Amino acid sequence: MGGSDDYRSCCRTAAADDPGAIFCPGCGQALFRCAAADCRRLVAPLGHCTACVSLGLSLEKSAVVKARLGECLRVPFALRNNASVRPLSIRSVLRDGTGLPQEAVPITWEQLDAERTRAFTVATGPFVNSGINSLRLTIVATAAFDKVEETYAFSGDLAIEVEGADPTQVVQNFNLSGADFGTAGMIVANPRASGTDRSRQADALGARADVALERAERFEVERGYRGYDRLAARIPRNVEFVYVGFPAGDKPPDGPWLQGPVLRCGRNSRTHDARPNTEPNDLCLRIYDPPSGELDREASAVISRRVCDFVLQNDRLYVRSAGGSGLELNGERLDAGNARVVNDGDAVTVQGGHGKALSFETGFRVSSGLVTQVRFTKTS
Amino acid sequence: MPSTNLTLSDNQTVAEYVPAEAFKGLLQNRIGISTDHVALLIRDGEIVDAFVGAHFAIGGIWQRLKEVLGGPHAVRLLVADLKPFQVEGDVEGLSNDGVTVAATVAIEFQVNPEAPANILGLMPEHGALTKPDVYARALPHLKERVFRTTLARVAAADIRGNTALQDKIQADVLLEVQRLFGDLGVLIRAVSMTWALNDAERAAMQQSASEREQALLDYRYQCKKREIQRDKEATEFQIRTDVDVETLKLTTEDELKHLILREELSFIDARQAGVREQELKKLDHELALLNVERRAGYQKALEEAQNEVERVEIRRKLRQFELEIEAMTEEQRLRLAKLREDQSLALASEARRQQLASLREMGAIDLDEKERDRRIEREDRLADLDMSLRTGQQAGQAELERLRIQAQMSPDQILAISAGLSPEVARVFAERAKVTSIDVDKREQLLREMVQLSTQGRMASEEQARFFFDKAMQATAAPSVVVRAGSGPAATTECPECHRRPPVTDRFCRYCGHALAGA
Repeated sequence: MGGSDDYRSCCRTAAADDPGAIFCPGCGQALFRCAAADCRRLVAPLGHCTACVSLGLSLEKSAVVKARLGECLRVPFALRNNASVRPLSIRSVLRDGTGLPQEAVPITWEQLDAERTRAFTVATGPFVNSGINSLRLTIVATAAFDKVEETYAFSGDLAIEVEGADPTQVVQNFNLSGADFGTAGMIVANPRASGTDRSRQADALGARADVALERAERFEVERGYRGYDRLAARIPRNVEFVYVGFPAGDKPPDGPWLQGPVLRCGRNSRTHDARPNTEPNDLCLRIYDPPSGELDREASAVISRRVCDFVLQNDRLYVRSAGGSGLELNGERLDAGNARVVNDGDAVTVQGGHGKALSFETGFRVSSGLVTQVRFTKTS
Repeated sequence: MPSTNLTLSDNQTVAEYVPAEAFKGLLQNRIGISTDHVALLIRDGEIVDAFVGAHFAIGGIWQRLKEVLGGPHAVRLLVADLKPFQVEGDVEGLSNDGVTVAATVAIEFQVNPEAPANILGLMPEHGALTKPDVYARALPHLKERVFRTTLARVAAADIRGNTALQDKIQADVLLEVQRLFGDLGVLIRAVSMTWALNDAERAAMQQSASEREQALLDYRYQCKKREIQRDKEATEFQIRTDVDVETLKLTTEDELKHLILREELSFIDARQAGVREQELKKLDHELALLNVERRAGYQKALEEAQNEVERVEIRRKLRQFELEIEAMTEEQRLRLAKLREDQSLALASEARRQQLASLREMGAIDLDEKERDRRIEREDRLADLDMSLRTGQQAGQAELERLRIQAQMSPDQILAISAGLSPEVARVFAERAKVTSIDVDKREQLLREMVQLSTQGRMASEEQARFFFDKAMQATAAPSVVVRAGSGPAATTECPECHRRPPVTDRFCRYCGHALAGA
């Protein structure tokens, strides 16, 4: 799920050989690619581009990961953006662990440019359990692609060895009888009471140590970074889109969006033409006369050539107004550039001329935490 | 001449006139007034000035001369003490609970340094103003108007230590003295009261003394009682001991031995029980010690084992992760190398193909140019040689030459040239016809169409000829594999779904996912 593991070797080879290939010529599987035009690497339906979003977390060489019971640590980390081109915006870093509540780590910087490393320090509270304690860091990062902005969360665990208050000290009280010692006194035998203190500096790592980062999908959904929290579901790239009620020439074929995570909608036709239609749409929004089914040219002429984009972003479906006017989501007007999350049952309305409008509703089919089908049902 | 410091005659005097004898005499007297005294110079009944800390030269011959010449003056000098002075007196009154209260009041006065001349209002005509005079003048007013009225408002038992009462009395005394002496040059600085024991306090003291005495008597009674009790108990013990001794004297020797044995047995039992108890305690302690040691040892071993297991697991995961990264890196490196190799090969192949094509085009151009030069030269030579020959002979000769050239061409070329096409179009036709191996009828039909287009002027270039040929072939034949000659890109085929041209090796169309026929 986190990379190109969802593909076979033939898919990976074909994708590398032909950047324009949409399906694997060997097995016929659809190939979903990174949204960035300068990347176009394979991306799993629920995954992220491992070339564009690649974080490396490491412990600084001066870090101390040993502590005693009740002690606090300040652990210095280095965060590296391994991507060669794309900068990342670090939105937050959270820390929790054994006996530690989840708290935000104060970070004074935000931008992490490509191939750059920046440092931060994590303070841990007093450890209350001896043995191996876990310190988990969850990093929320945002990457901007050409038309979408994706937010991902990664988490990494660090083992901190916590010793007891004095691990080798055994304190025992011997109540010796007066017959043996002449006086019935209380003597405390404490053979290693002193000389066991050691310097914290001696526990420093001495060299940078990498910390493995994993995608925190559950965290992303629970915190609302990705997917639909209310449905507890996410929309993968290979979700099937079904267009009901649209004329055959106005809609793309049912199925996933293969060209990218964006569906362009507007009055312009779906056919590219060098002169009259340089920006074809994927879904043509026109108003037809209900009784005859013929195109209402006057009413359709009011609709913008490009009305909006439906975008798959952060495992959610968004509608983003592309300009013009007359786009409404559930009766609320969307101005140019504004984007809203599209939920199950939402109504999208595009106002035309003569008081006529084109409306369609969205419907989700959810299965096992995934939205498997999105239906655009035309209502008027 | 030394000056004499003028002071008051005694301590009780507040102000007094300097005796008149001081102004008489032959010699001049120099008198000094210290800074804590004021001297009022009165000449002819009029106050001339008041001096604080000054010297006077009085009497003497010069004064005499002045008196002789100018007439005598009545000069008097009043000296007053500016230091505060305190006077005391007794006052009595009744408290609000009817108890006689006595007190000693101490009032501190001072001659007003700002208006010392007003002290004359208190001075007797001759003599001095004393402190008791001041007090005697003020006391009757204070007794009635201040002390008695104030004391009547409080209870006798509440007077002592009552600072509020002190403050009130002081304020009232200040007001009263201000009323009395405000224009007489006397200030009041402080008032304090020392209360004598009144009856209520005296009764309280007697009561407390009686209580202490009673407590002492009670204590003595208790001591006496305990002493009597001890004497009684000692007596009883003595009597009981005496009885026991007498009983012991009456017992037999056997009874005594039995008694001793019984005491010894109980003693031995007690001792052994003590030893056993000590041993049991020791054993319990050793067991507890061993238990603690073993538990600590097991706990430590368990923690170390857990740590080691987790470390091994973490190292294993890290190693696995590193191996995966290495494998991915190696795979990426191999893929990049393959891509680079393929790219370089493709570039080299394309460059070579283009080079060969260029060479061929250059050779063809050279041949055409040479052929044209030769023909022009031959025609010029023939024209020069046969200028004089007949026109019919020239035409015959030309026809003969054309037939000779056509004899070297293929039948299709001949047919094309006969139809009016250019030699390039004819070459293309022949080449494509040979590759596609179509039959003669279709070739002829195509040729006719080409001739027709050529005559209409719609086809003149090689590209148009190729396009026309491909269109014609697609119309007449089923979708077929097109193999491009040379070392260009791989062979492609047309997808029946999207009509794009994926490589023939594709099992699925890479543009629409349609399963291709060869899959």
